[in-house]
Amino acid sequence: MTRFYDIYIRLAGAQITDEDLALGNVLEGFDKLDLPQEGNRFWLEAILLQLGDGTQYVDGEKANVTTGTHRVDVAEYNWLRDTFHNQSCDVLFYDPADNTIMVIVYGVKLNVATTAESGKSAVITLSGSRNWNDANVTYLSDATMELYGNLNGKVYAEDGVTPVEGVEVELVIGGTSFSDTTDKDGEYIIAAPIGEVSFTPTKTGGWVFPEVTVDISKDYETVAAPCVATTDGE
Amino acid sequence: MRNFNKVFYRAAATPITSATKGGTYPDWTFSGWTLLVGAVAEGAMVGIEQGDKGALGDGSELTEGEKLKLSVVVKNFTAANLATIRAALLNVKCDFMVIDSEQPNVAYVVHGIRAYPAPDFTSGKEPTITITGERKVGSGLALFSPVTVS
Repeated sequence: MTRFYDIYIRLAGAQITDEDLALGNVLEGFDKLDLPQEGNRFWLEAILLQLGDGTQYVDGEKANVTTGTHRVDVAEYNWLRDTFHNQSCDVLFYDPADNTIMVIVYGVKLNVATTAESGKSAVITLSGSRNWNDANVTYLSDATMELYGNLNGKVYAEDGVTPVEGVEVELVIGGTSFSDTTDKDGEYIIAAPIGEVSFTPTKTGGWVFPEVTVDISKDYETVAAPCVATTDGE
Repeated sequence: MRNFNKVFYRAAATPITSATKGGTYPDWTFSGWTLLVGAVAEGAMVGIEQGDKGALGDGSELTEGEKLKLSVVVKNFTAANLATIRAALLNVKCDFMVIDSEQPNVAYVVHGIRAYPAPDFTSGKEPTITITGERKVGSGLALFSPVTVS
């Protein structure tokens, strides 16, 4: 089945296992690339050693990642460069339309570059590679992913236009907390068990937000209606 | 013409010249061989090609060495399938047999190859595991051949 991946990036952190999905939001700390370019890719290459018996031995492997975004405004470019350029990062490939596999590559130093060419769409590319061993890539299983979905949403100030950063969004499902904090775009991303859930975003400083109810699906990315503050805070 | 839709592998052993199939159409089985999980994409290939050459005094060229080759692409796999394939094949010397389920009277076997299973996830395409390997051997050895299947 053809896959079309959403790309999530974070600064290098702890590796994620199937079991971690049940313990909290594994996407916390990841930033989802807006307007991903065509052809995002992860692949492995072998470093081969010729043996005396005529066969080839895989002496090592190299993990390669290439991705990019067509959101090329000054703020986004500066943020990506300042946050990820030459930093050790984890890159997550996920197709929300068929969540039977999730690929996470760990500890890749990303090069963040951009090109603007006449007649073509400008693009910010993020790419990198690292010599690889078994510990540097995980593939979350389809059996596990069947139970979870991705929730994506945005939080705005009273004006309904200004994104609010630093808002805590917490889903409590079966006694377990799945939470995220909104980023500079007011966006939160939470991997959580499928089903209906209600939550009320919070932020210190006098902010008041309404309750949000969503039905998280496993088959598609669930996008919550924009959450607009009823009272702006500091 | 054959369309190889089944690939079997085993730990490298004594080369075979014939095989006996079990199971039922089209899910043939071979005792001692493991079916490669996932779906085999078109273009599966096993073969032999010329390796080292030596010029002779009569002006002709002697094939001094040959190269066994394997290339198989697997699609429609799960994370568990990928783990199984890599554990079974990575740096393990194996024999590989390819067969067309619709024409199971002949199979093609290469012996003693260390294969490399490489996953590739590209947006806009189906994820693949490309399994490749080659082995240099002396000329004329019976390490690649069609085998009669009964």
